Amino acid sequence: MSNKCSNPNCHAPDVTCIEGHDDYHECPNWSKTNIVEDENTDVTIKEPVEPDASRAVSWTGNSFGLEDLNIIAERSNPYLIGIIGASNAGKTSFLCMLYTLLYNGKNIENYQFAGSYTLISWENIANNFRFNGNSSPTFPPHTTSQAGRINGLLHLSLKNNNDFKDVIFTDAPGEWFSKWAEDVDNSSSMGARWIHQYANVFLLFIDCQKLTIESKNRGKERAEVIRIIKRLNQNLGNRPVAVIWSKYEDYEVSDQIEKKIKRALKDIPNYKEFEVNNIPNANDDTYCIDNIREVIKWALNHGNSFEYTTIDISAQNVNSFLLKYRGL
Amino acid sequence: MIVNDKSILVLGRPNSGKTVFSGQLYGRLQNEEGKIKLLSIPRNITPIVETLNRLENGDLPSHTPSDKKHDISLSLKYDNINFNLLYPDYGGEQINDIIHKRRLNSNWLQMIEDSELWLLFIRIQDIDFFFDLSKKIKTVEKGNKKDNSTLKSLSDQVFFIELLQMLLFHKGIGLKHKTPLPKLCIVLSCWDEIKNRSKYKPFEILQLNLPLLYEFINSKWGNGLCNIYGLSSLGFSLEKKDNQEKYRDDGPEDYGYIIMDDGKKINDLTLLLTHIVDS
Repeated sequence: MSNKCSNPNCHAPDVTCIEGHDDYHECPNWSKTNIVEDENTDVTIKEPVEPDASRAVSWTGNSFGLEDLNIIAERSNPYLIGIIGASNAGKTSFLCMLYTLLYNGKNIENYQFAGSYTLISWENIANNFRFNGNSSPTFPPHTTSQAGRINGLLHLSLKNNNDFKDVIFTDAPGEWFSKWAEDVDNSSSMGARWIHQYANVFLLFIDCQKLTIESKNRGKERAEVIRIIKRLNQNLGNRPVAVIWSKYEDYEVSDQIEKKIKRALKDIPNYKEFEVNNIPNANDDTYCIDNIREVIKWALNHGNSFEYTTIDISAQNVNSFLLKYRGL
Repeated sequence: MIVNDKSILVLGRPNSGKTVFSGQLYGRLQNEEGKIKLLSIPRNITPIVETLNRLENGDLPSHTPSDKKHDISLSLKYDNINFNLLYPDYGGEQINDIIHKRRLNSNWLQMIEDSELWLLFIRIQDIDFFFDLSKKIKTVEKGNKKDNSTLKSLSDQVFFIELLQMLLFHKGIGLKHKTPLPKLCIVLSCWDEIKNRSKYKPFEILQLNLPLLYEFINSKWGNGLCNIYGLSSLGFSLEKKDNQEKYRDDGPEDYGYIIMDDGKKINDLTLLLTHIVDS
């Protein structure tokens, strides 16, 4: 028995049947891959199946793959925040800190946490920043482009007054963007291409640590940052970009490099610069926390999203007999 | 089951105070104290009786092993209202399994479908505390904080949020649902263990200790659809010998109190249910 559904998009029994059957055994797609053919006769024998009275939920708690987006796309227009930047720029640390702040009740303006279908992934990231005083916190492990740590889409449901927003954050390795900046059509650039195509808003991380005067590779790093900016700007439209100077408090970017990057940024129609340190430098570093909240607040408020508008229907004077007809 | 009965789903992890409250409640129902009457005695109330017997002797109830799958239903009456207390998992051991395996069996599914009110017991002292970089970093005093190795695999807030998300899913309640949800009542049990408790109302204790859960509950059950209570079923810790003697002499029904959502302390434990049913 294969234990898998014949529909490649359905992941029952781990989650609910994609066709909506309460018991996945009843789904014709399931029966297709779970019929055993007897070689000796022409009769196909169905494997005896125990009725499964337990029910799964439609999400696993791990980060979303592209198909999982259907779970929330069915109820709302997902708001995709594309997080872009080279390796080690602080992308995952930022997500880690964002979740940690929410976890401790530090909301983003008047957005209320209304649930998440990827809580296990959020927890896995945040565990790097938790400690009991005996062990030390560490930076999140490198986001690899290989299997092992599932890169994916992280979900947060936020409520603002009576308005709900399903926000998706991309948690992708920096190598994706480095490659995509060089070669858009490369097979390993697929993930970056997808993010670039569909994101409502971008967070572009620039790693200050790599651009200091002391850094020997700063020329190469500068070139890479500018390559990523230029690639981002292609087909960007009016989508806003939050440009995040990451680790700015600990590392001073060389003046000339800063000028060059800012000049490249000017081509982006709609952007704003932020200075962010992902890790508080001292006890109770509210400045650090506020900076992170500012970024998310701006990202949530400035992206293009579907807005409900009332349609103005004006009264019409019609003389047509047919249009006046109102039934019996 | 009569359709117009109110059904209350009782939930809680192991050691969350659910079984002690149920024992204390049943003792009072047996003695016909308070305004709540027992309409009929369930066929198998062994776990409740076991709890009550231990309390009569001044002992803490023991853990119910998870392989004794006890789902219990109590039919009660208050004024003119019939209501049921549904325990899909009396001992609370199954609930951890549910969150890890992410599946609910038919008993649970039926009780979720039948219930219009969810009663969730949370023991604040059981919540893992850990430092993270958003907080002030203090030096840890020895013996005060838990060791990293005893931290649960899934943090407490996430456990409860996932539990509620799963229940809402199986109840068919969507994110933007405008029709009334099942009402939610949170009971912060073992209230007597909480430090500085007299300064705070129950909702403040929940907000301080479980802020993400608090936000989640507010986003879905705001506007008066959630009540938060404090509860001390025992009144004090039974680990002290003097207290054990009190239980042996006076009986467990003389002890225990609830803290209403406005902070008021009330000694009649049955009022927790009458207040829930009334509102």
